[in-house]
Amino acid sequence: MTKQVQESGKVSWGDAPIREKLQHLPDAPGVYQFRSVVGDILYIGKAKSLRQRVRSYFQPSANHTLRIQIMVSLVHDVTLIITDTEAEALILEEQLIKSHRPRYNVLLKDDKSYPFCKLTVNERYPRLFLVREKHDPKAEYYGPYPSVKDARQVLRVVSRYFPLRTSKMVLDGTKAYRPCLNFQLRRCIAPCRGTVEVSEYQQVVNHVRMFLRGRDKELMDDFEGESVPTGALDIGLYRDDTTGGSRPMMRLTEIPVDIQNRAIVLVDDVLFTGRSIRAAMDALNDFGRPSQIQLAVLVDRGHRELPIRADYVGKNVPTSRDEDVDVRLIEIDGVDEVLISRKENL
Amino acid sequence: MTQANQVKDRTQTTNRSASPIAAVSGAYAAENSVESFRSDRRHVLDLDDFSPEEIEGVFQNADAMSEVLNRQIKKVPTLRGKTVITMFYEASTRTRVSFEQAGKILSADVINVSGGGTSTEKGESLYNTALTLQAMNADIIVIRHSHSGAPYFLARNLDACIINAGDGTHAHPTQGLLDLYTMRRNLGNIKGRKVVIVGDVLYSRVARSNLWGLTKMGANVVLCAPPTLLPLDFLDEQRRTKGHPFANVEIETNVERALEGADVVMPLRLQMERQKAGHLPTLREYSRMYGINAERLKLASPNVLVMHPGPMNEGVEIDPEVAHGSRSVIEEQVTNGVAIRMAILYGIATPVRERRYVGSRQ
Repeated sequence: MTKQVQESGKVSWGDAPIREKLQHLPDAPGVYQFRSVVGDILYIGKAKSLRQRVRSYFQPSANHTLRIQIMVSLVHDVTLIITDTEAEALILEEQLIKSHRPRYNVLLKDDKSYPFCKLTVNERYPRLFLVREKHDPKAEYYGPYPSVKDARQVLRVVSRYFPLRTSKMVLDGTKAYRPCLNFQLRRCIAPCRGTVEVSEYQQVVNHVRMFLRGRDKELMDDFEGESVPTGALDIGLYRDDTTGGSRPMMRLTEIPVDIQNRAIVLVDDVLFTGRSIRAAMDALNDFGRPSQIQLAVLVDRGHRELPIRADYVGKNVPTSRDEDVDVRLIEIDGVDEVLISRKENL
Repeated sequence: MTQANQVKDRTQTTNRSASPIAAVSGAYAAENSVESFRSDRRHVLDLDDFSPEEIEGVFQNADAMSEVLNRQIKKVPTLRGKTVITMFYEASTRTRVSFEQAGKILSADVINVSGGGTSTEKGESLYNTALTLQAMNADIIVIRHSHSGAPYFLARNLDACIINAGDGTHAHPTQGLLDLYTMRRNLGNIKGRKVVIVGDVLYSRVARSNLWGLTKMGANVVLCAPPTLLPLDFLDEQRRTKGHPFANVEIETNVERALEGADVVMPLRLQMERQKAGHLPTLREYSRMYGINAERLKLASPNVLVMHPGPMNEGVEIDPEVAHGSRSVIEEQVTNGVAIRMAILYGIATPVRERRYVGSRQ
C-alpha cells in the first residue's frame, strides 16, 4: 500500500480501488460510503449526482475543513448505493448514518443535546428554565424536547398560567427585594418580597410539576376541585373489521355518567385509519346522544381511511404502514414512551 | 430499495410532557395474563379441548357482554348479517331462549328450528336437514340432539360453526361455562374450591361438561350419588393410577359427608324415567337420601352457592326453600347464560377465513 499525504494536501492512492472507481462514477442520485484501508466506513453522504459529488472531494482546488481533509486522506475505497430519487437517498443516508455512526459524519450524531426544562426544587423558591444538560441530581428535569423552540413554548405557557418566579437571584429568606413587573401583571406571586410562605409557593410549584408531567387530570382536580368524569369504552362489538381468525379479548366498558347532551372527549393513544374512532362514536350513540364529541390522541400516525380528524394531537408521527406504533404510559406500563417498530410478521 | 428495508428497526421516544391532553385514567390497565390470549376456535362441542386460558378469556368477554345486558339499549351491531340457526331436537326453554337472545342482542338473525312440525317429522335425516340449513347460508348452527355426538357429526360435514347445546348424555359445554362463570363471579376464583355435584351423574351431560371445566380450573370436585347413578369407571378405585382424566375427582355416596365445607352445591335434575329403568327404588327415597334441604345445607360453607342447571324438580333433588333461598344463584345462572353465549357467539363468528372444518383447536 503506497499511500501518503503530500504536503499540498493532495493524495496519491497508489493502487487503491477508489482511483479506478473515480473514473466510472454514475451520474445518478444515491448514497456513497468512503471506506478506509481496513474497510471501516469513514463517512456516509448522499448526492443528487454521485459522479459530481464524490469527485468534488478529490479536486485539487477543493477547500475542505480539516475534518474532511483528514477523512479524504484516509479514503481507500468507496461503496455506492444508487437510488431512484434524491429523497430516497436522503432517507437511506440518515438510516445508514444512524446504524454505522461513521467517524467523520457530524450531522445526525452531533454532541448538541436536546433541551430540558430544569426545575430547581432544591431551592427555597424554585425556578424553571431551559438547559441542555442534566448536571444537577437534586433538580428536576423535564424533557428532552424535540427543539429549543418547543421547550421555550413550554416555558412561555408555564409563565402565563402559573405565577412562578422568573428572577434569578438567590432567595433564602434573608433578603427582600422590590417585586418586578410580573407581580403587577399577576404573573408571579413575588416571593422576592420576602413575605410569601414557602408552602404557598410550593403549591404553585406542584401545579407546574403536574403540568410538565402532562398529568393534566390531576391538575384539573386540584385546580377546580372537581374531576372530569372518565369512562372506558371497548369497541370490540362495533368494529367493522373482524380481523382474520383471531379475536382480541374484550375489556369492560364503563360509562359512569349519563352522556345525554354532554360534551365527550374521546381519548385514544394512536390515531391510524380512524376506524376505531368510527366504532367508538357508534358505541357512544348506544349510550345516549352527546351534545358534542371531540377527539384527543397522543399520536397521529397518518394513513386515515375515514374522514376523521383529531381535535387535539399530542404529536404527529409520520410512519409507514408496515410499522407498529406503541404508546406506553406510566400509569399502565410504568414508563412514558412511544415505540415505533417494524411489524413482525410481514 | 432493499438496503433501506434492511436497516434495523428504529426506536424512537417522543416526549409529550406538555401535551394538552387529559391523561387516561388507570381504568384500562391490563389486569391479567389473558390479555394476549387469542382463539381460532370454530366450534364449541365440549369443554375438553378448552385450555384454562381460553376459559378465562371467555369469562373476560362475558364480563363485557354483561355490561351490554345492563344497558338501556341492549343491542350491539357485532354480528350484523350473520345467521344463527338453533336446531333443538329436544325440549328446551332456557337454553334455546338464551341462545336466541344472545344472538339477537349481537344483531344476528336467529332462526329457530325444532323437532316437531318440521321436515324431521316427515323422516328427513339430520344430515339432510343440516345441509338444507347450510344451503340457506347459516353461519352458526346451535344444535341440541338426543344422540351423543350429533354436533360432532355436523362439525365434520358442514362449513358452518357448530355449537353444542346438549347432545344426549355427552356434553353441554355452554352450560358448563356459565356454571363456572357464575362461580367465578360469586367466589372470585374457582381454584381450590370444593364443588359438590349431587345426583344423576351417569346420565347428565351437564355434569360431564362441568367436570371438564372444573378440573381444568383447579376445583376440588366431589360427585355424590347412589352408586347406580355413577359411571362405572368412577367407581373403579384403580382410576387414580390408570391415567383416568378425572383421577382426582372424589366420589362420596353419603350426601352429608359430601356437603361438609362445600363452596358450591349443584344438585342435578333427576329424570323420572330413571326410576323406571331400575336405578332407584322410589323417588321419595332418593329425595330423602340425596335431596338438598336447608338442614343439609348447614353442613356446607356459610357462603355456599346453590346452583342448578334446571329445570328443577322441586321437592325431589332440591327443596323449594333452598332453591329460592338466600344462597341460591339459580336465576343468576340464567342471566349469566346469556352473557356466556354472547361471548361464545362473538368468539367463533368471524367473516374472513377459510370455511372448512379444521377440528377444534388442538
